[in-house]
Amino acid sequence: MFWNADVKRGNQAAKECLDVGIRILAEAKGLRDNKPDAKLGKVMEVLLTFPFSSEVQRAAETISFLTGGFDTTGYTLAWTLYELARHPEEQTALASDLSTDSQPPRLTRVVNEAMRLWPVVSGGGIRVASRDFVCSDGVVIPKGSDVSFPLYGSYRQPWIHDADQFMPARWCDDAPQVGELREAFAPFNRGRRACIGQTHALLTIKLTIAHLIRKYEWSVLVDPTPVFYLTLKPEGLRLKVKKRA
Amino acid sequence: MDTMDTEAFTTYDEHSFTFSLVVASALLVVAITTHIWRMTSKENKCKLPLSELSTSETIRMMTSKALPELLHEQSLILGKVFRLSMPQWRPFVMCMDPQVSKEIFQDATSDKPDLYKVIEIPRGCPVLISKKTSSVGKDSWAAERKAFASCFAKNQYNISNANNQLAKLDLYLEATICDDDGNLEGVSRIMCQYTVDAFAKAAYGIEMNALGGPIDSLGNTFLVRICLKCMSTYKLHKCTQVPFHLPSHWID
Repeated sequence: MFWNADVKRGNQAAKECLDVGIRILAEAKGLRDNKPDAKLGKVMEVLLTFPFSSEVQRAAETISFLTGGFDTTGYTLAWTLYELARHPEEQTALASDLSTDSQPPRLTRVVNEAMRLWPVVSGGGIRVASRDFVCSDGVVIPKGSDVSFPLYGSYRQPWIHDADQFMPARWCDDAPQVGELREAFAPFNRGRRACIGQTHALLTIKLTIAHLIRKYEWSVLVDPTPVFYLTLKPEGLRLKVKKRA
Repeated sequence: MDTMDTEAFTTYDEHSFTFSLVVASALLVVAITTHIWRMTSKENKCKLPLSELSTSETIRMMTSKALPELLHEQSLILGKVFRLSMPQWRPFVMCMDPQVSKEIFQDATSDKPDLYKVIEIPRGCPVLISKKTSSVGKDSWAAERKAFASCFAKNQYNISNANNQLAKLDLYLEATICDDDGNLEGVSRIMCQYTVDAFAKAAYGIEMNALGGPIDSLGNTFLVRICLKCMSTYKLHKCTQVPFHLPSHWID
């Protein structure tokens, strides 16, 4: 396939991404060496000191953290704003709660519900089954199978009441299905390969949504088209924003 | 004498080669039969529903922009766990059973498949999200994961830095309210530019100036390169796509 123009363009773009990683590392080293009072991020401190096998791997890791951290959080913010703009009653209730509490329980419920309906990493990951696994309905996943866990479909299964509806109240402590939902919910995956930045991402999402709802009112101008390529993007979304009175 | 020795060796070599070939063929037949029996034995075949989509239709589906919805549709027909026909030796299973997915993810011996040997965006270089972080020699994945995990702990989150990024977002939104009556176009792009800046400042301590910055800023250079990479791969995939029946809000 190396003769294909798109493959060539893709390889060139990947090489240029790596160049961005090299530039980021150079800038950080410059800051460290020339401005001793400048504070580097903790991740950069480890990136600069970890014994990688090569400098290319150091740059690749720099760019892979950024790649894994930007659109996942960015699209989750966009989907959450979209759902709140579509549901003014939820938006008003959240704004009201935020006027007295910076991290109200409703904020967690809204973010969870947006991530349930629109899990940005919809593919959910693939694992090789190390043994036979027996499912709840008796189906056996044989040892050695490649098993994929599509999150979008998992979170819209018929066992979830009104699964296609945005209903943050389903995450209340006394909601009828909350136990099963919490058990099933893993937008950052689980186990030793779970998303390394999930705490950071969740804090950013909650802080940003809280800020944007406290200060502004949102409504929908153009609905998005869900487009999947590695991550689930609300393509074409247009919102109207105005300052909250 | 020399001739006899040569003949003897030749005969021995021929016998040895034939014998090896027979043994190897027999082993191969046993391995294939065992595998086929294992994967299609009555018990497994009856229990794991197989999608009616052909292999080529499955490939088209897997490279579709509407993949999440299409897999959801399949699960409504076949149940929470089902098989897809993929051009590979091992069964390819879709699992939407929360209990089993939890079990498999938490099972330390169920690792990523070889598909994850190479991650394309950092030019094929092994990184933390690939199967291993070293393509040769001892794998350092566990050591690397441990070294970076503490960087993302809650106590490392810098609130004042986050507030500075929100102030930049405010400036952008207020300009939109003044200039465009609050009509915010490209919300996904704006949020991604904001998160590139926020992540780079928090994790690396550097300014990338994607949101509201010039097109040649470090942040926007990165975003353009990522888009180009994704677009080229998407164009490759597009020729394999198929017009499935889609809900009105999904355009393929």
